[in-house]
Amino acid sequence: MPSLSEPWRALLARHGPALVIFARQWASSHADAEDALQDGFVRFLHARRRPEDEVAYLYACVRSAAIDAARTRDRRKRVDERRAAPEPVFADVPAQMELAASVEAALARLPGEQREVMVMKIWGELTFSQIAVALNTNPNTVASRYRYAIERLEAMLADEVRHE
Amino acid sequence: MNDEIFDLESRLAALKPRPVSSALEPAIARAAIRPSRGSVSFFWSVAASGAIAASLIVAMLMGRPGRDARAVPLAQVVAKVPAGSAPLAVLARADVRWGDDFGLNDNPSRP
Repeated sequence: MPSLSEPWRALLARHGPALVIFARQWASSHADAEDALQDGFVRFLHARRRPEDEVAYLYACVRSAAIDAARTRDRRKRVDERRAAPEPVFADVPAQMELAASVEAALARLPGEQREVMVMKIWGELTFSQIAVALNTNPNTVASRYRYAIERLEAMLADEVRHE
Repeated sequence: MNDEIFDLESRLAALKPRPVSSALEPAIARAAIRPSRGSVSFFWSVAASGAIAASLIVAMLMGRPGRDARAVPLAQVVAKVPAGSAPLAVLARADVRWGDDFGLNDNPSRP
């Protein structure tokens, strides 16, 4: 059975779970997100030159693979997926299930450009500079998107607590 | 406000993403061995471009009018060469324009 060499295996183990959440923004299921991660990781491995920041470049590859997959996905399949029950994004931890569901719903309501920054910062633990490289933008824009995202998320979660 | 945001960041970071399936790593390794779709399509696009370029060159060469079409027909030149002329004049007449260039055609002493 083929296997990855140690540095790539470590990179996948370290960033794989966060990359699946990242890819879920464009995929409707965990399996589709893993497919996008696979495709993105292969693109990363086939890069002609080694990037300066491998983690940022890996995120860029997975992003591009997930967007391509979402574009080419069969329309009928997408309709079927919308009818299917949503899969949780976070691990099933009984003490966190309520918060996880609220955060998932709040994330879905964020604009895409804020959501992707939020996912890379919180779960990917990337710096603003790395996120800027991955998104091909500047760190100030990234920091600004993150600030808006966290404030909106905070407001949405606070609203939810008030309504309970 | 900053404290609230810091607290929210901590709570969010505490949410663990679902683990990736154990089949993902071997699947990536298998897919990485195969040539990527990009490189395959690049190969075919290069091959197709080469074939098109070669066809165009062949078509241009075959469709190009030959130099002989512009030249004076050999039979006309040869027919005008009188017997017993000087060898240089005979050579010059082989191509009338060359003869003009060297002034050989205007030589009044020429037979």
